[in-house]
Amino acid sequence: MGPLIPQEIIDPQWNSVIALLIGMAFGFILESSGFSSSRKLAGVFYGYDFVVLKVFFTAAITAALGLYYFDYAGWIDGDLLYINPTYLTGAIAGGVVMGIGFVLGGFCPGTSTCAAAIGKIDGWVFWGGMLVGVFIFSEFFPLLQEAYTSNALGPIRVYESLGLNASTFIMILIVVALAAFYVASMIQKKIRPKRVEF
Amino acid sequence: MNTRYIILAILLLALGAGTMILPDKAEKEELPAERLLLDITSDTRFKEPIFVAQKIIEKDPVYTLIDVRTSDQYNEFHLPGTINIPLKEFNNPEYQGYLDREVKNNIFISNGSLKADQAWFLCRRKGYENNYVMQGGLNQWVENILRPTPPPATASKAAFEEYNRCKAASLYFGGGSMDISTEVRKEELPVKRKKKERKVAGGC
Repeated sequence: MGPLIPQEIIDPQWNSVIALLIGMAFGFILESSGFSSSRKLAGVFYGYDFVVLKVFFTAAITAALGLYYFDYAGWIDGDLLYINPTYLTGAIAGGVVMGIGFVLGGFCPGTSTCAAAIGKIDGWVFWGGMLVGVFIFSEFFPLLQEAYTSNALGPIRVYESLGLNASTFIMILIVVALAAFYVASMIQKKIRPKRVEF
Repeated sequence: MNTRYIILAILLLALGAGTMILPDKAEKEELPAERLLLDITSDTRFKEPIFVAQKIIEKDPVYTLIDVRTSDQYNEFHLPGTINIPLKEFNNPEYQGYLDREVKNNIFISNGSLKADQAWFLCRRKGYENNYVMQGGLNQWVENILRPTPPPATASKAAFEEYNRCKAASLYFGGGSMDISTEVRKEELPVKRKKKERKVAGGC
């Protein structure tokens, strides 16, 4: 049955409308989970708040399990799902830049938009910085293009690159996630024994 | 530790283990012989060339037209909007996505009905739904659409309507001529002549 748009069950013209609705829901959930606070987000680097790690890791394993079972039941055709192509060099460089930006600014792009939307000044400053970054990157793109497109692996999945099958990879991911949650909660208890609300 | 977390962790582990225990996703089962026999004897798989012509003209996205002839034959001539999957490639897994449709339909086209029918048979045996065959193939297409012959004068009205549709399609596909209007059977209405109304003129 699914995915609904590639199967033409929903007209592709609805793409942007659906994207807008999902975006609004995503923003609402981010904001109501407290993800518009840079202190909460940066907490993962300083060890006093691991909610970011927990939320995103849980989302990843829930989605992986959901897609696996839905594909098995024939409700979603896994082959029709869009997979972002991997450019290894660009992904590593981008990951490092984003990590540094995350520690410095206390936001990632999505959460900074959330913070900016509710009028937080640090959110606005982060957004301004992001636009400057986009501008600089675009201007220097001809110079960076070769590095950007090098090591292109195409639309590859992690388990394929590791030579595993999907179910083994999902199981490993769940075990790693649960271990990470446990270790994170231990660290959190040690660094900040009393729960602090921001 | 909070018992809720423990329960959730066990649930996640159980679901993860479930993915490993499940047998590999089974290929579609082959159709039972009785069902296949029933489908072969039924002629619902055939679509008339005029039906195919209409779908091409309307650019109907629900129907995909698949030419099952060799790629040389396809390059020489093919109907507009068709794609080429040669019959010998039908077991190639690369094309399974095209042949095993759930929502859309395929119509197989070959020179006659035979090759397209073989293609349909291969697909049906694998349990693929929504595949059809263009009746009579391209030979019938030329006969019906490109060079339609008028039905005898005593034919039914429906036959004439069908002929006119073929003529119109013929114009679209570049065959035939522009003499549609001459072929339209005129309804033989009784001619009513109006009597000239003579008004009483003054004078005499």
